[in-house]
Amino acid sequence: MKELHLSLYRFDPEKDQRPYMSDYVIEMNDSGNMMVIDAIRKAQEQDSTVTFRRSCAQGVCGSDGVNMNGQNGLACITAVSDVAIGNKLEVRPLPGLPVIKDLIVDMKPFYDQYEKVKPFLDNDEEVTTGHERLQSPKERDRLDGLYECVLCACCSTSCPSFWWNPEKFVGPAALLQAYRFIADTRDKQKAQRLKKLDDAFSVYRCHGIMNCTSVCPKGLNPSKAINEIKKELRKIG
Amino acid sequence: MGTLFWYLQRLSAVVILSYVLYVAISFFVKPYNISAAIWSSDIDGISFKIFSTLFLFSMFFHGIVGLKAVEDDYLSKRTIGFVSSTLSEFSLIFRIIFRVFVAMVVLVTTYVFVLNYLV
Repeated sequence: MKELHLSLYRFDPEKDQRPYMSDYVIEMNDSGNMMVIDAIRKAQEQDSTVTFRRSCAQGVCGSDGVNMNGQNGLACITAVSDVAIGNKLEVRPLPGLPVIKDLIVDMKPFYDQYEKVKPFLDNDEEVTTGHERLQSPKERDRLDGLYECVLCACCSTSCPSFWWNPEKFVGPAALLQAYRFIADTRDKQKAQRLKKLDDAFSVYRCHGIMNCTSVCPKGLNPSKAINEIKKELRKIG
Repeated sequence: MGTLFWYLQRLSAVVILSYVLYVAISFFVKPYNISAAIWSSDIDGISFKIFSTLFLFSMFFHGIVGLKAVEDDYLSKRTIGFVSSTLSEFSLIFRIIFRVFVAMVVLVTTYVFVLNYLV
């Protein structure tokens, strides 16, 4: 690919009545490929008003989640060749969250749900052993695939249940974190955590379509974690 | 409540599937096409009436849970707002109309079922 026809979602609530798409022609580097974030930066060199959020640019901070040709992902670790159709690429903000400007969304509804699941170890028992709370290797293994989430919101914003009910449905990212602490043997609030999730919306609004799992840039499986929570809920009846 | 509804929805699905399978298998196994008397004696039997009543209520419960999800997802102010912000102001009215429609279907079906079959 010599050049990329990049189309970016533009919206400035202070100026624009409606969102619109801006087109840019991006010259590709010698390899004929580049990361999506680099293409966006090249567009920004042409038009400095293009606004997007980024930080580490290596898939760790999770701040550059966008929708690329219909698929959510991190712009910094997604190659143009993986998402472009021919030499065309359309980049939009993550769906379902209010747009602040251009590709930047307001993450508040997402973080509100994250806060609800109390994403921290809750254990009031005093430690008298003289060392930290220990786990067996097997108990520790259960947390693999649960703690690595970077909170990019790619999963929750690809979930129709979250689009329709962002205030009531906890969403895959927060549920993954909820299960991370439910599964942690050091946490002593398992029953309370489960009780809080046992309503028609929090967990059961997930119908298992697995968009979350297919878009997770870290290769995690929130859908499996949600099913594990449902199993735990059924155990306590 | 979430888990209770999860169980009830699956239980009602089992009843619905069992009923449909029972009727479908009976249709092929028994010579209904030869004698209407066999057909009618089966349908008028007390066990079939109980099974049919159970099926009807399971269908109502299963359907209402599903339709409630449809209402919550697609008749909310937020979702209608994706189509039109003006229409979204009337979301409560849409929900009431939807609920009345569902209630009418349940009531009329129950009335017809009780009057024409059970009594």
